[in-house]
Amino acid sequence: MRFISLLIGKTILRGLRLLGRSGSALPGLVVEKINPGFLKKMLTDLPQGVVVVTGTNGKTTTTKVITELLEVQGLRVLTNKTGSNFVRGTVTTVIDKAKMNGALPYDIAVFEQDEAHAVHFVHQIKPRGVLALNIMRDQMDRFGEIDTTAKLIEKVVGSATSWVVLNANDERVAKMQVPEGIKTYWYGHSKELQHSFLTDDELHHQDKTAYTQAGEMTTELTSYDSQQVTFKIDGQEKVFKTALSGSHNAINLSAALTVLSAIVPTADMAKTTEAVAKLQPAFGRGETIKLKTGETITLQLVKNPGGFTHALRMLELRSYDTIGMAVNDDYADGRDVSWLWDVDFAVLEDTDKTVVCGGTRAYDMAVRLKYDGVKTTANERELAAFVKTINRSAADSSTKTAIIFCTYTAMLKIRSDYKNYSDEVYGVTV
Amino acid sequence: MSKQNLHIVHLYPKEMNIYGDTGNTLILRRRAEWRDIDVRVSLVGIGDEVPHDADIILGGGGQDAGQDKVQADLQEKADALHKLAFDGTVMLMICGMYQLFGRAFKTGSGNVIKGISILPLETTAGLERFIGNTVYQTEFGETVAYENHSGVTSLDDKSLALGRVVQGAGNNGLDKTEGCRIKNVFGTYSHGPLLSKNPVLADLLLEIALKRKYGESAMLALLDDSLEQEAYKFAKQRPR
Repeated sequence: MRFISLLIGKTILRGLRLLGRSGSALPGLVVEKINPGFLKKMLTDLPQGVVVVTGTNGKTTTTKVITELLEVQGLRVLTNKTGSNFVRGTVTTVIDKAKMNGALPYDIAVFEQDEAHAVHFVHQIKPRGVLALNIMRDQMDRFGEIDTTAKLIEKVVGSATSWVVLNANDERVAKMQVPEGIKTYWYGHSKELQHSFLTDDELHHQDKTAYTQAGEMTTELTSYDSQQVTFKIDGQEKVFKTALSGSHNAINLSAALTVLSAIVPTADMAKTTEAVAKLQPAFGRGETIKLKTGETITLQLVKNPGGFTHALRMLELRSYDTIGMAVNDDYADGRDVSWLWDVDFAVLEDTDKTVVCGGTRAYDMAVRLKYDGVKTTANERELAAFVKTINRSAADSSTKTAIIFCTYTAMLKIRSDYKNYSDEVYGVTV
Repeated sequence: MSKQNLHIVHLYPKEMNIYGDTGNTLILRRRAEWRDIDVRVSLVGIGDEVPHDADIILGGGGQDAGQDKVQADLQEKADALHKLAFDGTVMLMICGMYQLFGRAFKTGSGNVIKGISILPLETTAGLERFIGNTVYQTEFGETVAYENHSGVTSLDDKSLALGRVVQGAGNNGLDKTEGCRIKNVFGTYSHGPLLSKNPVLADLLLEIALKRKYGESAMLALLDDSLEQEAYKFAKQRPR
């Protein structure tokens, strides 16, 4: 059955690719239908088991970092790189990577899983380890309320068979019940950095919540800037050079290093340091595109108030003359754009930078900015026109830079559009 | 002539704060300030007094947990709110706070959360969640918004509805009513936030508040609402 499933799955995948489609869902969908036990059978053979990365923000970046850190330690890592984090996307990954004889030539799998889908996933496959990043208000028209999301993630945490890595600073993650016999590793940031990490409640309360530190941290972020991050690892200060900038990337790195110690307690630090220095942002997550005409454009995915607020802090670290904000309202973005009003844009008040809005909800974005005192220079619902405007503005500026904050489907479209302006855009468009 | 001023009160910003409803407060504040009106905003939470000089009081949607936390405290504030409502104070209550301004909310497990009975309505937890873009016909034109609730609300008297459903579920998905208005108390399921794409309604609330405070009919200076109008036009044609 495994071979027939694989054969069918691989055939569909090949067909889709011939048609120029990436096909992250269909092969998985078909194989799930004809052979519901497929994923479990394939993954139980992995010698080091499966690691699930879940939480609201940072899944894709952290999964990518964990994968790279494990690979330099010599492990063969299976991962869902396309950001397709539904169960069937995972099935498709397995179909793609398995040998025709049914073998899966990997030591360990690291999968990012969307909160709601993670529960279905762990129902089928008990993960060896679970990383829970944070719980923030996301597209609540999909998942319901934040407390519902917390319950979903607690179920995922409760399914781990060996260890969990938890964010010590997230009030909701900190309160989770971990089953007896399961080792808990904590990560987080120092109290001094509290001002850089708004909790979800702070985002919505307008006043400060107390610093939470649920347990002794394996990796504690103590400082960061645009070039390097410093962690206290088992009590020792350690500085890493890295190109991943911003508070959100620094904390994700702290999570990834903790997962590394859970999986490979004797990891070679020199190799880790080198790997961290080489890390590049994931697909649309602070990724920088160099245009043929010389300008550089940074793409930053934003999905919810917490993520957007953190992403705006990137503006404090680097200077961008042009700022784009592209908001779509397709299903994957969340149909409701009310959440834009939970983001504080005051950092841009009376800015003299060029601010351009794009996407189906360009004018909702422009209205939101208007009420925080931010004037927009142009608003383009069509993303091709939006990209053109951004490029022109970047070309006219002194730093030749622009940053685009974009929701999920806007990011996919914009990224794909940049193939017309840059030779560096590659990879799968989902 | 001394400068006019307005005191805007936002109820339970900590507990009832999802879906950007605090945006309504920001919008009213800015639209008043752009007319050279001084604005004071007070955030009133559990244990705080409702300011007796409030001109506009706003409340938003919350999660079930938030609603649990505020219900007892809201009873403490009921007298003050009744007095203000009777006196013509402008109030805009969205979703969860709209429900609590009614008589009662019956939860799925059969518990009854007591409301403060300013609005003559009752809400029962429904099985279906009403989610999506909405259009309502109201006395001040068509409003566009976004609803996200499973509460099924019945008005004692349908003529008290704030609007009639053109697209969406409204109060209950059955009788085409949406929201409720008694005197200057407006209750509705509309997020968006509501005032972001309905500047006419925002100005109407300001005008009622100013008229109540200063007597004469206030004529607010016109603002350039072209961005709001574009957002409105587009939202109106979005699928549910």
